[in-house]
Amino acid sequence: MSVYESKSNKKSQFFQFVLSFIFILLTMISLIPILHIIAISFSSKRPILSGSVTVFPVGFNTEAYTKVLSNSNFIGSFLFTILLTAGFTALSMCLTILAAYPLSKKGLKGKGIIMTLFVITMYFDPGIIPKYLNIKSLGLIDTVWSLLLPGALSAYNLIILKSFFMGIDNSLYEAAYIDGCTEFKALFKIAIPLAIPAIATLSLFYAVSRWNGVSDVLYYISDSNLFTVQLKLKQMIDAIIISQKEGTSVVNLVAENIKSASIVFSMVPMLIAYPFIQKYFTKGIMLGSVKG
Amino acid sequence: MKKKLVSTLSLLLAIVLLVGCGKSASKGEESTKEEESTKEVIRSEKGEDKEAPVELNVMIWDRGNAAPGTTAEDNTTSKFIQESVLEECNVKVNFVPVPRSGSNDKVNVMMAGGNAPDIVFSYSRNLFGDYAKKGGLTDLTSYVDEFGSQLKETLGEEILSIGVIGGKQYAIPAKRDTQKIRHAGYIRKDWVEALGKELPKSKQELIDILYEFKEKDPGKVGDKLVSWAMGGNQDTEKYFLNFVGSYVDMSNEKDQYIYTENIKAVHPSAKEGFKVMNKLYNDGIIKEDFPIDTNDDIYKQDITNGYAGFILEDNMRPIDQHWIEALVSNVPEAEFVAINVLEDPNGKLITPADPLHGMYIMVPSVSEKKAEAAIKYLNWLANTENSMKVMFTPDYTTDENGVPIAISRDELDEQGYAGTPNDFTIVTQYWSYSGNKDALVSEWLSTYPFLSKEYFESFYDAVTSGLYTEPVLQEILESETKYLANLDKLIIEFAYKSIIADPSNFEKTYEEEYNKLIQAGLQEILDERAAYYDNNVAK
Repeated sequence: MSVYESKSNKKSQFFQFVLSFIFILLTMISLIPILHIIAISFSSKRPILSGSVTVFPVGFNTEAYTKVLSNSNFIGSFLFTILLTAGFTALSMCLTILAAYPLSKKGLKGKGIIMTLFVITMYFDPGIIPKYLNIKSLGLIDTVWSLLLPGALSAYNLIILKSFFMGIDNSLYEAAYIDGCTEFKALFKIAIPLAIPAIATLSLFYAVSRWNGVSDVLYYISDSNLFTVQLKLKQMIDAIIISQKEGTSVVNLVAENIKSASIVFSMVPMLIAYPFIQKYFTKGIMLGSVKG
Repeated sequence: MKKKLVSTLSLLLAIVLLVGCGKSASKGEESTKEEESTKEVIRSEKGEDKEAPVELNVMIWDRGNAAPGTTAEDNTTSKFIQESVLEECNVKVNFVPVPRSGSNDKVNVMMAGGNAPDIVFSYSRNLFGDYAKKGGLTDLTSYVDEFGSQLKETLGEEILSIGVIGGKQYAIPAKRDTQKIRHAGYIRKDWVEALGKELPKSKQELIDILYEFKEKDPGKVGDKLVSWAMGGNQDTEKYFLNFVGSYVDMSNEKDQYIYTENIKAVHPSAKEGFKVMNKLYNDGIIKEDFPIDTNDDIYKQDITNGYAGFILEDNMRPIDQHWIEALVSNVPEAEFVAINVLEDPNGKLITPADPLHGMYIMVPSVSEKKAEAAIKYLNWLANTENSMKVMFTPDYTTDENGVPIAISRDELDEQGYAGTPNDFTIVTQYWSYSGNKDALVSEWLSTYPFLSKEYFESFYDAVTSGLYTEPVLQEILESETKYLANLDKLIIEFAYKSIIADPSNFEKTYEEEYNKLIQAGLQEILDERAAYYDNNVAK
């Protein structure tokens, strides 16, 4: 008996070791490219060109960051983009919740038609020029609204949240209605608190999409005060590549260097936000809400 | 918890609403201020009995490199232009920033939306031809005749004619700096000298030297040696075009019109060139596995680490991308010099040169009323002295060769000058000293101090000898609009596959890949170009 036990212990220890090894390997696989990019952003020109930078900077310097930061109003557009992202996320979440909640309820009249209308937007895209004409005739060109309104509601996220609301046990609502709860109260006191994990995830989706969005800024905005960070970073990278082709030397830097610094910059806000949202991903959802 | 969430959400919403309002409010203020200043100008000028200035919106590229505290459309350079043009031409210029990357897309949507600036530009001949054919552009012929005397003088008949389609001047093509060959060869001079030889003077000498590089390893780099380094970039034909093109006899004028740029690589005679490259590849002269180096990373490393003996590149790229600088700091004795030795079958050096013209400057048809002001503005820019003031700051000083003395980037930033003044000097970048060897050498020396005077003197000789300017068709061919973009990629694939084919399979691979090109519309392009030549040029 004891022999068998120790064998199985050894076996499970070995298994543990293999598992740890695999997970460390997987972590490294995703971590090393990021470290490589950070290393390049701090390295000097020669080692980058010779390909000798791995995960540690060679010829340490902060020139790429100075270049990115000294760019015209970079800090200004950084703050603007953070505000824009926060505002967009808040606006989008309000719209998504207010649309998903009623659609999750049984007995809403015209539910099928409304859903179909939402779903159509997932399959058909009008294309750039009709969109531009639309935005133009709404008078939104060169305003912050052209960056907020067109993408404010994603049908995909709406469906996710709707399904999530539908998963909430009906007896919870019934209990609330019996105690004299209104629909609004039911939404704010029952549905939203229970859907926090989903709301946190979708907020992250919205935030990331706004933070990384470039093309709408490119098309709708002709005022450099309203350019977002991502557009500016893209300009900086492309400026180097394009100027190589045009033969106009712009900066005394290797493109890889600035590109890496830009990637680090665009990762930072999401890296900061993620730990605060992460706890909602792991938390149980309906734990202990219905008993007996 | 719930309350917190709700209140946070509503707070954020309130903030965004406020930000939105704040932005629009401040914009409103700005526009009223602008109106006021316009009125003032009119008032002050009424005193002098002058007409109110015409407002002209001009596109400007935003490369995200404006000096701190300035923008691409509002800086010391733009103010200098605005003041000078208002005074001299009575035109009030407003600059409209368009991000450089994605610029064609943005111009496209603005043209479709009918709110493009009064002056737009693009490097794409396809885009220009498309607008011209669909009636999107103003015919500038009469305006140039009336208000564009300086334009005519600076650009000359040859360049202006490139902006003509169907007999109408739909665009003003820009004039570029000193013409150089488009792709140049670079070779390790120190290796050649270590072999006890002189720089090659012909294609055959070059090939012999490449074999000797491999056999004798003059740089002592061992098995990392690459006699002829190439990348696998899918966007450029620079790695093979000049070599295979040198096997084509271009003395027939019709061929000159049909086989321009990358199409030259599919000329039947170019097959001989591919065959030679195929042999070089299979003999281990050309970098093994080059087609999988699609980012050119290994290629760049081979050059900067001193493993590469010879390359074909864009004329100045190894210098202005600091590859040579990195090479010399890795291998101090290295000398990587430009050569231009790929002669044609008649023994003549005709190396394709950069085109004479740059971007196409256009006036949309909805801005026809502004065409007069637009030409007046472009005419002002066409004056070399004006353009040099824009490019090198209004009170620039020159050295003994007439080259403006460079001002450091930091100093320019401090005074708020534009990040890339070239974006303002859209009409001409052919300065008063362009084409002058001594002046250019001294300009390069001040820009790239890590190289010597002798280096640039021989560089100048290499890149300006045997210049061959390809003809430009004064028509936009339908087949080109339809197939050329796709063919550009396919020709590169065709070339790489032919080079790396097994020698016994070369004929088969070449034919197969060539037929793919034919199916992808190559035949239509060749036919339509031939017909164009017969109908327009041969007559």
